[in-house]
Amino acid sequence: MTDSSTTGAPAAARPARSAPRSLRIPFRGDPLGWLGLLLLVLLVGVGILHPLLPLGDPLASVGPRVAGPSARFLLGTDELGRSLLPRVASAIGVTIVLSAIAVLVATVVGVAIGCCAAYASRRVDQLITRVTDVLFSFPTILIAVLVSVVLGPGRPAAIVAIVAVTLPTMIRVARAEALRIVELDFVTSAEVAGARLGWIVRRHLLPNMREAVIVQCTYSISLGMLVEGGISFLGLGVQAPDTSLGALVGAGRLYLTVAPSYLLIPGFVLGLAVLAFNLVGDSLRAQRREQ
Amino acid sequence: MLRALLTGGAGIAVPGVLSGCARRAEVGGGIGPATAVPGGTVIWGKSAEAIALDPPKSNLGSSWDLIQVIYDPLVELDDNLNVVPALAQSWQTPSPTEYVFSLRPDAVFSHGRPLTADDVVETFRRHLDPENPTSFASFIGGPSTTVSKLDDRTVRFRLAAPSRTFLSALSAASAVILPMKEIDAGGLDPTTEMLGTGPFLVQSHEQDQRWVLVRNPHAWRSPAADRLVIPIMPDVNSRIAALGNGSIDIADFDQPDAPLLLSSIPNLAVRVQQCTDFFVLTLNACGATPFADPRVRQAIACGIDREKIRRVALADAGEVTGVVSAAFPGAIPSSLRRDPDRARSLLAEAGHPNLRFEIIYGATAGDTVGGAITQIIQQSLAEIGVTVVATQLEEGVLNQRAWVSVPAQMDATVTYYAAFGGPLMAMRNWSPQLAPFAVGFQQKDPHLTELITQAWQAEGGVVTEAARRAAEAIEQQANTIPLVTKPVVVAYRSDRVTAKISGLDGNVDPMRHVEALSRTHVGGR
Amino acid sequence: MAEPPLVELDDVSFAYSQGSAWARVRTPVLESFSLQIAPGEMIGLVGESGSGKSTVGKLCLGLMRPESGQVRFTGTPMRRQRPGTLSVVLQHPQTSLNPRLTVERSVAEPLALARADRTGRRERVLQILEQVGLDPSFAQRYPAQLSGGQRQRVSIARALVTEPRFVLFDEAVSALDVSVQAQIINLIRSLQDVHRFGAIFISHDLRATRYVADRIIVLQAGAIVDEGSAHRFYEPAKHEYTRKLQLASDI
Repeated sequence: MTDSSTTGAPAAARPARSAPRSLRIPFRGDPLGWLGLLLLVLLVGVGILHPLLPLGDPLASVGPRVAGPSARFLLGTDELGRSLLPRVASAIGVTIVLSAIAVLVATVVGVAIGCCAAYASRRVDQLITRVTDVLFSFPTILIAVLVSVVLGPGRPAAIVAIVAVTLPTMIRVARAEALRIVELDFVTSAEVAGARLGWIVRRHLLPNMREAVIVQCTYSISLGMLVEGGISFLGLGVQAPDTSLGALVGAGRLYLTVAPSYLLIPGFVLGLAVLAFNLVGDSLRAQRREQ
Repeated sequence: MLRALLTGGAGIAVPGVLSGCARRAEVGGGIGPATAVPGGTVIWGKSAEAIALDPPKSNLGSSWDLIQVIYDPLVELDDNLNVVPALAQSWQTPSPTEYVFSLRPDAVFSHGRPLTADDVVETFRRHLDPENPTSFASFIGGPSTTVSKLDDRTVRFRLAAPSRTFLSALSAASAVILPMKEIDAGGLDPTTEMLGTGPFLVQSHEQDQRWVLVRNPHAWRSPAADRLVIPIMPDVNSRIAALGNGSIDIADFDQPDAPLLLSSIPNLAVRVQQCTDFFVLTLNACGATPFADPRVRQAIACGIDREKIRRVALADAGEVTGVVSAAFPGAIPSSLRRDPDRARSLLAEAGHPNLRFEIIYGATAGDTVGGAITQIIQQSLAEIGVTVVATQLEEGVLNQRAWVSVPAQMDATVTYYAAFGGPLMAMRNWSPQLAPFAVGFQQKDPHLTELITQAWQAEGGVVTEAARRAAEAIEQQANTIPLVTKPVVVAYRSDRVTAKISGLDGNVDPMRHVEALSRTHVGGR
Repeated sequence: MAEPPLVELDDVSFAYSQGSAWARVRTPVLESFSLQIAPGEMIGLVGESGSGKSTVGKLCLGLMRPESGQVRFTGTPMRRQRPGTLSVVLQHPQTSLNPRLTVERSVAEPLALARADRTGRRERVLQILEQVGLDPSFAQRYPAQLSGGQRQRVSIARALVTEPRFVLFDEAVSALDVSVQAQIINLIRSLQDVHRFGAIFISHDLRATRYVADRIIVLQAGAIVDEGSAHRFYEPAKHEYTRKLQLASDI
């Protein structure tokens, strides 16, 4: 047995690597991916570390009302004379964290339901698919508003609303991935060898769904930030005096002609955050496709 | 019944009104070469739809403004809140408990039938029905007041006791005179149709879209404009934009910031109108809250920085007020003073050194005043160790929790009280006996009710000793804490229309002089 | 019979249903099909696509249940077997191994499922890798680093690591390059000589099958059309369909 298949590196094999093919950061030769990652790190850093930065108190009325940017208040002040610099910084954190928590929940639930759908009887699978389709066809903001009205406004409502909006897509992605993987030969081999559902999910489904799910997560987080923005804009999300980017945009909208920076800066930052997650998502997806 | 108005707070935009009071056709505001000519269509971007149209039952400021364009009361307020004739051209008070009104001979309903004393008598019988008196009735002595016709143009009210609120109450939107002959005959439903003696009559209405009013041909004071078109525009930014591009001529605003927001629009006259209405912080002393203890309530009253509320939340537009609205000439100044040390020691004494409670407020899009006041309260109470959680609620939910449930399902709310045209009228809100809407959160205090009743019955000027005692007792009780007055902003295109805007109003009628409103003649349009 | 057949299909019928869950269309695959496999016997199952070969294989593994008739394993009705008793080697080298697992972990999976002693596992894995012709350095590689033939070797190692009593080779060499095919077939043959597992070798390629199998069954449209010892299939067959298959594979 000294055929070529036993001895070395045939054409198909790449130089030895210690890790399996998985998503890698940094993205090789992908400047947009890098840009997204850089933005993401910057925004998350500011959003989380802002209390340690010398930005000022986001809650104290210390300045003139609705003033544009000045040396003392770099981004200006809001309608209660609070400096917008620390408010925007804390809003970034609130928006990203709320969205991330919600998407984490949506991912866990979505992957669980997706795996069940893939393994369940056809009827159960179809039921799950139809319910998901129905959920999916609801206008995003309507779901969000309904949830806020039922739960009362506040962070939990924002989180549940984001979960409600991002869950259907997550279920779809997870189900499609699970269905694809379940059909693969190594799963059949494991079944024949005596593996049960839990084993197959843990060892075969989850590790192989990971990339698709992570890519979907980045898109879901950016969608989640927009949903949070929408419901906070309507006053149903984060409650005063705390603020989020959406809440700032909602408040700043009134002062567009007087102090445009009040609306434009949080709006721009929200746009940047959405862009950052989408760039990273696109980059991860492109990388996946390449593989 | 006044509940929703009182509730309005951050929520219901107090209606814009163009309605008029000094309904004479001389005109203020016309500038330069433009001259007012009778005629034309004026467009008023109204901030909220009128939805409670039957005057005696109407509890929304957003309906009162429209009611006051279609109907007239017996008397009305002038720009200094003095009571002046309207449908009653004169009146006598043969005794402190007796008022005799002579009706104008030229008052005619818009369908052509002249006003009679029967309309007046029957209108007030609806209020004073012993079985089911209206909320308004307590201002005019309640069901013990009798109203009778002396002849076709003379009506007499007899009260059980003297009343300092009676005359000014008759100027309110709730007290306008209805065509009772048609209503009693069943030919007219006042909850859906409006037919009055006022300057305009309703030509058409699309719910939540627009009202089209035309001149009442029989009006005893004819308006300058032929038509008044009233698009309903709840969104502040759309009203601002519409003023800017000329698609509306005049608009009303709740936002004290409105002058700032409107400053970039040329040819715009912006008037801040002081109102007797005022914001309050209502603490729920009836539920399972720490506010059952008067020391905790007093601590909150001492902890709030009302001057900062005026300066920051009201953008300097209003006044710090006591129980008698600071908008009234010669009002009783508030006895409340900010005193953080006393607030802290009261809290410690009451066993709540680290009090935490929730303030709920309304969520009408674009209206930020309730929220702004709440946040300033939050800031100032934080200085005495009190944590306030602010929650903005949808209007229906807020109403249910704050004003319908008994006991109220809340710790506290920021809202505003209508104070009308009489300095002492709002005092009744501190007595659940006189103001049933308050039964869910306002402690029953027979002594306080007695003091308020005494103030209402006392002879003398505005500031009687009895009124002073009542005001002080109310502020000491600190169940509902008066904060600042609630100004209204009216803006109109001075290049397109002429208008007269009163600087002071008592009946949620920010554009009282509606007959003076007219399109400016600049080369015709 | 002193010893019952290892696997027995007794008068088995099977049909696929298609369409929505509520309106299914039935497509019969096997009708009254019977087959017996003795312990240590390797049966070759040949036929064109759609002839029902794979269905027979799946029924033998208990992956599907027959509509009627019975599948028996060592004389008792087929049910879930003790892990490690049955195994399978499938067609696609690209998907036969979980790309997230090293060769060692893939091969050790049946051992883990069979709750084999943890300490002996690694040794056993290296031993079986050696038997399929892979040196120990392959243990830490990932499937992406292997050629198609190497992957099938790993698959075979995984299939045999627990010393199963029955192995299904479902088109196990069809996707491989012809020269590699020969090596793998040799490997299967020699391993079967050592381990004496019962097996079905499914293929559309009669040439490969007659080399590896003891007995060959020719399937057409769900029915056995020809059957006999493997040697017989080196001669031109009498049956027309078998002859067609012979021609196809001899080219």
